[in-house]
Amino acid sequence: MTLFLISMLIIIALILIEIPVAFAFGIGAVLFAFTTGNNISFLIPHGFKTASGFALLALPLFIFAGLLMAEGGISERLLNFVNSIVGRIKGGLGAVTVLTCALFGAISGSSSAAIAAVGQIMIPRMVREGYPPGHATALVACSSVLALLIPPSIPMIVFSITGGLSVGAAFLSTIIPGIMLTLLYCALNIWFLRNDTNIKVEQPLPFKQAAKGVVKSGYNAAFALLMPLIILGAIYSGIATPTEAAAIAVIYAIPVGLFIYKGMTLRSLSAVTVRAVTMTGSIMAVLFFLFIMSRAMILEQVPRDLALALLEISDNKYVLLLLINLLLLLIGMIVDDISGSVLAAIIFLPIINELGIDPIHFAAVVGVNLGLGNVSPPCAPMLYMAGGVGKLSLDRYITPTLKFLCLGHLPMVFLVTFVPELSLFLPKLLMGY
Amino acid sequence: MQQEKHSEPQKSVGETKIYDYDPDLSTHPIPPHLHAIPEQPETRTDSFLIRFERLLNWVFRIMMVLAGMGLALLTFSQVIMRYVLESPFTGIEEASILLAVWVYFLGMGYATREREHIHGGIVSLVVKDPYKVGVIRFIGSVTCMLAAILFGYFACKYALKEIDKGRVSVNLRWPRGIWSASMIVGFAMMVGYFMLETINEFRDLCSQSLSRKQTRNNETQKPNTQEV
Amino acid sequence: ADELMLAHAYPADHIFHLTSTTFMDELKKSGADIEVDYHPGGSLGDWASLFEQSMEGVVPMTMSFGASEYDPRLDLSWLSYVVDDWKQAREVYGPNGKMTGVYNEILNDLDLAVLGVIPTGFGSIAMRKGIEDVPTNFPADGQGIKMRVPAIPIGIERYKSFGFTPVPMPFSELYTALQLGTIDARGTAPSVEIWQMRDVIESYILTKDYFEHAFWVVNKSWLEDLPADERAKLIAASDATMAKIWDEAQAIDEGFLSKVRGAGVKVVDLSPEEMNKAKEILYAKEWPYMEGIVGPEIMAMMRDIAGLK
Ligand code: NA
Ligand code: NA
Repeated sequence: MTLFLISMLIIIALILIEIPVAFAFGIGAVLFAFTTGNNISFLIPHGFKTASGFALLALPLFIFAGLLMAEGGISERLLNFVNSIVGRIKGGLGAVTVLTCALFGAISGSSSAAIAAVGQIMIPRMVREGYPPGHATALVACSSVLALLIPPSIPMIVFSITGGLSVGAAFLSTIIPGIMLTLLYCALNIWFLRNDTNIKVEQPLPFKQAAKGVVKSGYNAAFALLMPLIILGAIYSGIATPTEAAAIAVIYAIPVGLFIYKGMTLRSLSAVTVRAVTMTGSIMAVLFFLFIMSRAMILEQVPRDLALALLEISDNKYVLLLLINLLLLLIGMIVDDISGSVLAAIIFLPIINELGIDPIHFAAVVGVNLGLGNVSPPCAPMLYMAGGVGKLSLDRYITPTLKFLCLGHLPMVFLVTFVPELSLFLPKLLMGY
Repeated sequence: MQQEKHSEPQKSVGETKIYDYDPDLSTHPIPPHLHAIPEQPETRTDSFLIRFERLLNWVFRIMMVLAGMGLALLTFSQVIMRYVLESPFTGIEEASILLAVWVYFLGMGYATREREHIHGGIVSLVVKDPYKVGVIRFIGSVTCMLAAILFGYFACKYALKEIDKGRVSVNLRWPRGIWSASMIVGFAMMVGYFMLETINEFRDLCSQSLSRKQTRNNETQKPNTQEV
Repeated sequence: ADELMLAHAYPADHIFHLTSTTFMDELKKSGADIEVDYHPGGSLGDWASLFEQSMEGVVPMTMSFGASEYDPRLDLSWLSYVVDDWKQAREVYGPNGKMTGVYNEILNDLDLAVLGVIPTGFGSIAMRKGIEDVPTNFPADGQGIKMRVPAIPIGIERYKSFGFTPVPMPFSELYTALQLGTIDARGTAPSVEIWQMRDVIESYILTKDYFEHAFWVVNKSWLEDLPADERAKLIAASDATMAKIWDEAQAIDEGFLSKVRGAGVKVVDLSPEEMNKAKEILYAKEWPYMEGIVGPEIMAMMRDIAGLK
């Protein structure tokens, strides 16, 4: 345990002196595995094998599609259209960002893909409209977690199958918490910005004129508006898997950008491709070394020992639930979300069953906690990704992030933990669970 | 449909950089990060190396475009094959993973060149002295370079073993080495570009300390801290 | 004490977990001075990765399916219609069965020793929820049905022979694909996997086209490094475990099948004629294909086992 704490401190120190997060994880992992006498020869191969899993393939494709949309003028038109609807509300664009993340959650089960796709379009636009950059970045980082709560969600599938639970019921269990969190972030966004005078708010127009504006920008954005429709339509009609839908988006965005909106030339197309590959590389580097760190921790049974140590503290059901929350949060910090859900199912599910807590209720608890772990500092891969996309250093977005987390996500964790109906209502209603 | 005029001139997405702070977004009291590739050669060797790197860079960029575009096309074609041809291509999963790992590792290497690795940090918040910032960054780059060498060693060991044992993939029966070679190339790029960054930062530190000495010796001379 | 890391990629209701816990108990009873460091659920990698890690001795012991990436002959474990029922399966694949020797010969080359063959049950096909078709007459009934197959050559070969449109798809996308209709059906499914995906499955058609079994392996070098008496205790514990597992495996498999029924999935048997037709198709198409991979000698033995001349 001492070695674990020392390794964590080293990782934090390395992150603080601006060493790439990926390398901080990698160095910490190798040091930890080496000092605890574990075999380090398979750490890198494990990272490679996990990274070459099919589940991550959607990431490069969504990044590519997002960049093509930005370069080709698709995002611009989409956002003009959106702005014609919400531009008269202060904080409207921020609320749209949160909703887009939630909607993106219905496409993909990966929060890194959400940051890459939504963040790179929404953050610059919010900044242009006068939002504080830190606020914009924090908003995207915190809302990216919605991709895990709104089904489909890969960690949730892994959790249910590992725990022998119904995947469908587990999916349903996080929908109400996901929607509540969406609304909560929308509200917090507007509330945080209430006194900000820099934000551009358009003059209120008479309804007829406003409607005319919406129609005009909607017409201009026709091909752009088709894009999300194609993605969602392809997935929900069963034509394509989410990964394939991302590829369809790429293939659609190229001719639209080149020939219809003409925001792009063949030369800039190749530059955008290089950019997409680079961005994928910087995100994959974090994931690659996060997988390695997960392995180092699991080889030494750190998550299990943490659990055993904390669970000795009490045998009161509610105290235990709180402790389990804390542990899940810690696990969310030190391992990736898929390993985290495997561990949650292996380590905690037996305890949960003994305590008489409904496992589907627990699925929702796991969902909200692992998400929080991924964005809460110091080990917050999703948060740093958003910082990267938002072109900001940590000190600029850390405060707004903490405000969002403490007033948004954290209360949600407690609600989900102590009000089982939030997670059990839909499974009972729709599946007779 | 007409092309709308952008309200303000925007950089192409392909040219934007993440960690070069946008002066419109935030002001920073400390100098920007140095990159692996210096903007100006200082010696003849420099200019030769820079020209050599330009060639490498061209090769890398072509590989990245091929891998990125290939991945999108291949994944897209899977849908077409399923519906139009009703005959799947057995190795599509393997082939798309092949392109994906090359995208990942070329991307990691290139992110090192462009200094685009995701990082946190509070150095700019705590330390205001440009020289101290330079020292911290130099230590960071050296650490990264050493780490990349260590990781690269294990990566090569694994990749070479796969090549050596002649392992082939299940469906395509292609040598596994062409998958794991992406790791070798990626880590080689990371080591190389971290090394160049280290050299750049070291030179900068030298010139900074030199100009400091001069400043101390001759109070009238202006400090030259922004040298790149 | 010697430390033994044992890892596999499956959850607590899987037979791998039962095998592991039984083994740990038996090992303790035998008084062996070996401490087992147990990692279930795939936290150290998926089954193919763990197979490699056992070859390398990183995780000396695992339970895994035949990863033909490391030796194409391991495809043999997916061969169709070798045995008809559990009794035959135990004779062929069970303790002291003919196959243990064959598998040991293959796996010894990979620095692995086979401690036992773990049965998971007969694999069959399932239709996604909302599709009423119940294909039982092959190849006619298979037309136009998009069938997910794992990305192994023999899987694609098999369901093509059955008349389906095979769609290779990774396991991670399978659940959502069944839910949304990207595919119509999935193959190579023992009852435990139907139970996992019960929410999105309409019917489970017992083609029983292969007997799914896995390898319980230990790194050979690691085993040889053990003191002789410890090694003997470990082997004895694994033998005792295998005897118990084969006793329980059928009950577990049938337990999942009745849970599947209870969850409202329609379970369909093939008529004897339909079953014979299905077998004939695969004997004519898949078996020669396999012969190309593993050679005539092994296939002659397989024909003998299956009662084919
Ligand atoms: Na989702
Ligand atoms: Na965290």
